[in-house]
Amino acid sequence: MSRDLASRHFSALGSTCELLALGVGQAALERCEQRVRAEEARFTRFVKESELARLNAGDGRYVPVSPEMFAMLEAALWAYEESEGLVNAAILPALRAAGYDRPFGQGLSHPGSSEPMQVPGLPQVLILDATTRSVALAPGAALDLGGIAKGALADLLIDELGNDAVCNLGGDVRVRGDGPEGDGWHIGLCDRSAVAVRDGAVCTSGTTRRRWGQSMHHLIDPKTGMPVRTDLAEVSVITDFALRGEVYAKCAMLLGASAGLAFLESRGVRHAVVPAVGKGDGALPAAA
Amino acid sequence: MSSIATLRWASTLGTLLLALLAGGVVATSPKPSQAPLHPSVTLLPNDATVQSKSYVS
Repeated sequence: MSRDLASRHFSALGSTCELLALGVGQAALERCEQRVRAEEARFTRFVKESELARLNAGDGRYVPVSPEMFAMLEAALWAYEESEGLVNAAILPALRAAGYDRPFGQGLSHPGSSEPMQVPGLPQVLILDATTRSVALAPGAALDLGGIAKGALADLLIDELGNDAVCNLGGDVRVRGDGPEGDGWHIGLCDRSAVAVRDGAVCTSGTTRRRWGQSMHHLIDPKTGMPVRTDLAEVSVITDFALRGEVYAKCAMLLGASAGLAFLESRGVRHAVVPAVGKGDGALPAAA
Repeated sequence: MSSIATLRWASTLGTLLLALLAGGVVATSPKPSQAPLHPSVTLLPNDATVQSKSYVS
């Protein structure tokens, strides 16, 4: 098999995805893209027929789910515990109230509420029954799996790309192998620094994209139910798995520079940051 | 030296010894601001070309 670099770029999961691989042909990348699209169709909250949308409309009833959905919900519960409640898939009602009620590319029609809103803890509204592989979601509760799905899918789909590849799903990057130059794959971080990674993940979270209105953005603080006010614009983290990276980068953003970086350091996580301009507005990145 | 002063001195000395044994003096040194890199990760120079990039999406 040739060691030529194969690459594929496409739009999915509400962002840009990139697959790179050495030693496999384009067919493997095409199959991986189809997997991404299939999982996007399952986990999107914007299409009424998606499995997630049907679960969100379950109104307290137990709903049978696919093995993929069951595994993703287990990942969401893990993320909740690992982040001490900060990464909470149950923020969807708050996200809708803030105005994010349709795919971002379609344009958000109104600025949304600026009133605080209570966000229930995920374990309080989500019950998984492994015996029947079914799930119950409390009436009124609804889940957004966007970020968690990107990380978890990058970890899953790297296996489809062979032993020397990059699976970059909307900035959640899972890496394996020595890369084209033999020292690992070269991955850029949010502060324009770069690392060579042989086996691991690089993930970035921030408030610099998906913004609308005066100061609205997609990172909801579960304590207030509103877009978080943070003194960080972007955080990149280097971790073993992309799911962990997705969770830790979001934690740092939500906690802010002081507590957020302490959170990362206490877990031995290397990071890069871009501070926000001004105090706690999270509005604009500082000049790089 | 009075017995009280002797006791105070002994107490201070004991506290210092305990602090040394427990690494208390070491703990006052600056804490590293970054976790060490995993052996599978290396920092690249500023002008390095990248093959992919992590970003906010």
